[in-house]
Amino acid sequence: MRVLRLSAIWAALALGVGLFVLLGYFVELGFIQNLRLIFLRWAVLLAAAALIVGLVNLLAVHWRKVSLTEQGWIYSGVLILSFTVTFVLALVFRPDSPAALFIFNTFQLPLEASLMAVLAVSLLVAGFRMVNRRRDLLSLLFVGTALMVLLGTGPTPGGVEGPVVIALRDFRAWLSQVWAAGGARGILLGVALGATATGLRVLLAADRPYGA
Amino acid sequence: MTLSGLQGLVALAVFVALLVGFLAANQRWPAHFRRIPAYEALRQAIERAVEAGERVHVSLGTGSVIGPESAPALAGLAALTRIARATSISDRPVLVTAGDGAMAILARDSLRSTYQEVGASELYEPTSGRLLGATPLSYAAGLPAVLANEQVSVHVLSGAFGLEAGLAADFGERAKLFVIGGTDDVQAQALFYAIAQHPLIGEEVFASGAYLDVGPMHTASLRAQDFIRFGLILLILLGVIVRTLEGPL
Amino acid sequence: MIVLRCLNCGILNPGLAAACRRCGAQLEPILMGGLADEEGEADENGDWLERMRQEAQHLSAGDEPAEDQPPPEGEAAAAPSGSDKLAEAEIPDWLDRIRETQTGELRAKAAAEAAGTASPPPDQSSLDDSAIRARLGPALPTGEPAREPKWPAEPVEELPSWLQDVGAGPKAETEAPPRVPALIGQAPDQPEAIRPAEDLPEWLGEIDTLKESLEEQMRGPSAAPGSDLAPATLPSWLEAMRPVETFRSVVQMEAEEDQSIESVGPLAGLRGVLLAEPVVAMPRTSTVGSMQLDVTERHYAQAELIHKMVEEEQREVAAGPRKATGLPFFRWGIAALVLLGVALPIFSGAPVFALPRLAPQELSVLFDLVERLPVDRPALLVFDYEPGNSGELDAVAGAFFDQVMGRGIPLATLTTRPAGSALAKRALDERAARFGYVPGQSLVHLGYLSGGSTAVQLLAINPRATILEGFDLPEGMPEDIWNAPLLQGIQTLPDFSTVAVITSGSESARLWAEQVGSRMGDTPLVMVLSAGAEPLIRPYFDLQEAQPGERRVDGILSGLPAAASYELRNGRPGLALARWNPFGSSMLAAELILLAGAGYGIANWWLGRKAG
Repeated sequence: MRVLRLSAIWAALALGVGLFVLLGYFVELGFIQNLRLIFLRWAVLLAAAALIVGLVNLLAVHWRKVSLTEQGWIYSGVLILSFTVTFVLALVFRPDSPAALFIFNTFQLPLEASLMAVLAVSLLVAGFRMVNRRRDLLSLLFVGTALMVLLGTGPTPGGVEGPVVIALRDFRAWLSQVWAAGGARGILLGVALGATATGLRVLLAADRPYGA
Repeated sequence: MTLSGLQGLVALAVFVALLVGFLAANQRWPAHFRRIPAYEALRQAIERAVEAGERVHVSLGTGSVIGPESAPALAGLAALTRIARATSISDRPVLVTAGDGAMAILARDSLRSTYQEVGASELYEPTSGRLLGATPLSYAAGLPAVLANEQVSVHVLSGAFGLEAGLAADFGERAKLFVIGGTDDVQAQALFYAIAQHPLIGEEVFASGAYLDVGPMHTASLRAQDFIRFGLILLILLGVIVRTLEGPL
Repeated sequence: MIVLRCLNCGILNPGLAAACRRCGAQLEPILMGGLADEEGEADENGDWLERMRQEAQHLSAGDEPAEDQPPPEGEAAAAPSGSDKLAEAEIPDWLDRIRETQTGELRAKAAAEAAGTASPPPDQSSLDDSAIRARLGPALPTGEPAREPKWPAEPVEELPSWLQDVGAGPKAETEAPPRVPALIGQAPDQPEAIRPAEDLPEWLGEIDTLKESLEEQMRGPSAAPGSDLAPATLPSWLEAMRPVETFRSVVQMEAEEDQSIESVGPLAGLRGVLLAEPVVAMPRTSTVGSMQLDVTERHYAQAELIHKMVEEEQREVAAGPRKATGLPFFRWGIAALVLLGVALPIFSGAPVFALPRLAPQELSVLFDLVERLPVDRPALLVFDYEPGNSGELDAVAGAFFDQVMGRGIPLATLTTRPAGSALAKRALDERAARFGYVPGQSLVHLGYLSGGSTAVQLLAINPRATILEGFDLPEGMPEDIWNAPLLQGIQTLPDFSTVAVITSGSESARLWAEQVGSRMGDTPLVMVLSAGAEPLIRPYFDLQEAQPGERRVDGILSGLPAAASYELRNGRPGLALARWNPFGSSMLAAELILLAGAGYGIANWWLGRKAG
């Protein structure tokens, strides 16, 4: 009974806050606007607090791996060590200190850039295999379009751009600005409807991601 | 109130009315949706994972709870409740990861309440809903270890993704897992289409609740979505015709 | 009168009947204890004849019948027990006469021998035990199988002659009555019979006394004098009213000597002990009748199939070993090709790619826009991308920074990503020195705006309430960053000369276009984009008939080719032109890989179809 009452309170709270924020988008009444701003600021603060909770959770997961020497515990140990060092350095010397910037420029930037390079290779591998894996017209169309866009985007070997290159570039612009943009708009329209429906389900307490 | 504000409110009211109407009419006129092979395959993959004692991993993406990018992750949370229910008889309960702290908390809450509902509270572990990385690429970088060490066989990607979507899907494919991916970002959808075994295109990611039988509200909301979509298509066509006729006139 | 209920049809039969008078089923008296099977077997083979024969053997072997021995205390009263009478009632008269004749002869013979030997009378219980065991054979558990006999069980005559001589004792020992044939293994009845009583410990004597009193109690009222009553027999009408399910067959009381002796536990040695196992649990014929199952081979096969299916379901599926992924040689090959494409122009200077001759149309719009920007107000640069995208976006945005800084427009930077401030510092610090910017005066880093898209909304409404702390601020800056000379005139976003968003994601770009674009007034909003995000943002740029308050983008720059054109137009070669050839050759490698993949797939497809 107590659980039921508590869940009803949470649902009512979520519904009330959601309605005020939603109304703030459409109704320009000062009271609603001010309330909406307050809720938004709270949300930002809560998100920051949730990040801290999430980081604690991250550390707990990896600490457990290390203490139980589970598979890959060495990586978890490296994570805990690097997390601690970065956190302490940024806390003591500020995030804009040379030490923190050294860590960023020496470790984080190259690592993330490498991951993007891995993504490029992964995309090429997937592109190579696509026609063989999915033997249908759509996959052929996908690879063909990708080829056309690459040809129209990249430079051409030689001294001067010829008319073929310019034609390819125009074709690429036509593909991306008409077909791709049109299709993307249609997709976005559907996504917007889906997002609205999802939001309404949460507002109506049909979905309770905060727990029942 | 501005005109656009009024239009928005009316649109919302229509949406809510349709949602409630379809919910009420669900018994009399049951919904018949088109086939989405990815969801059919997902059901089978989950059953196989339960039989084989392997784990289902649900990724809620790298989006924040407090923005519009939360919508696909919320849809993913709804699907998560269903998946958690289905895998509650498994030796290895479902594992959820997110790139946002608040989303990880929501994932844990969803898991806890679902396990309580099915009377399997002992399956809940605080580490079943994890923050994997605070930035998108650090999240993606943390995925291979999770997929390899947690005996994962089904890799469900449902949330907000950017370019890291390609990496997230590729890590699953390289581990020869069942990979299904859906998101709201068009670029990320293209990456899923190229890499993932079962990509979800467009708003299919929001249909997970209806296709996985989460509840009648999900079915009703999908029907309302479809109804409004066809209304919008008609309006767009009408607008094109009117503007085209306006030109010569 | 003894009646027996048929276990098959339930009808009552006379106690002597061997078969049911209705259904013809054999009537088996239910015997208590583990002797039922043996006893039943004996009955089937002519039990009463067998019993008589064995009794005769006992008597001829020297066993004294119980009634001829001095009756133990309490046993005399039980001599003509009801069970004995029941046993006698089963025997035909003519056989009974024969038995009496034989018994009389044997008794006379035994009495003569006893008078001659004067041996002490054997222990009564031992005799009884021997008789029962002799009748039931070796199947009867002795209760002490592991106990080594204290005296050898072999007959004395088997001893070697020298040992017989040495061990020759009193005549009583040598002329002791022959032992009962050893049907129960090593039961040491004979030595116990001659064992002096004083050897027994005191507690064992107490047990014997207790045993006798228990035996008396166990015989119950039927054994009491004067209790010569037939077992309770219900009238037929009452019997018929008894529920069939709770029916219990009439238990025929056995004769004293037929009752089993408890062999284990504290009651070991007692006769007629009630069983712990209830009668209902003993195997018997179904009281509700049997049903003949017509089982065919097909049924057996189906049963076998079901059995296999159930076994399969119950079998725990072990997590199979993962498919070995092996080394990703193919992936390495693709990566090597791309790396080769990037490295070749850097190290060899070839191939060379043609520089872009025609600049995209939107580049002119942006170039002109920057040229018109006022220099007395700062421009806001939003670094909204991850460090992983810096490879592309540093090069694309470089040309834009060069033009803006070349004009001396003061700059403020902001980011919605945790690592964005460091990216901003990295991208602008070197240029700031080159263009003579003074940190804190003409360049301020506003730092990280936490809260994602929600924070962008708040920023669009009230920047001063949203940004509270800067990043890498020089000495002497006021505590409130908005009091810095550069930012004093900024109250809202349109107070900046321009807002330029550098981002890799289409969602992020859309967010800025929709949340900030509508509040910018006449202040231009510029998007510096990754090539992939451009198609989705271009519609905001193409919105030519934008109404006041409508979302729009005033300038757009995306992709390395446009950036290279920008640098050419600026006259300041930068990263875009430096990476032009590696970019071109790696793109060529990518095109070739995709082409090869498509060709391979089509060929495979065609060959597969041809092969059927």
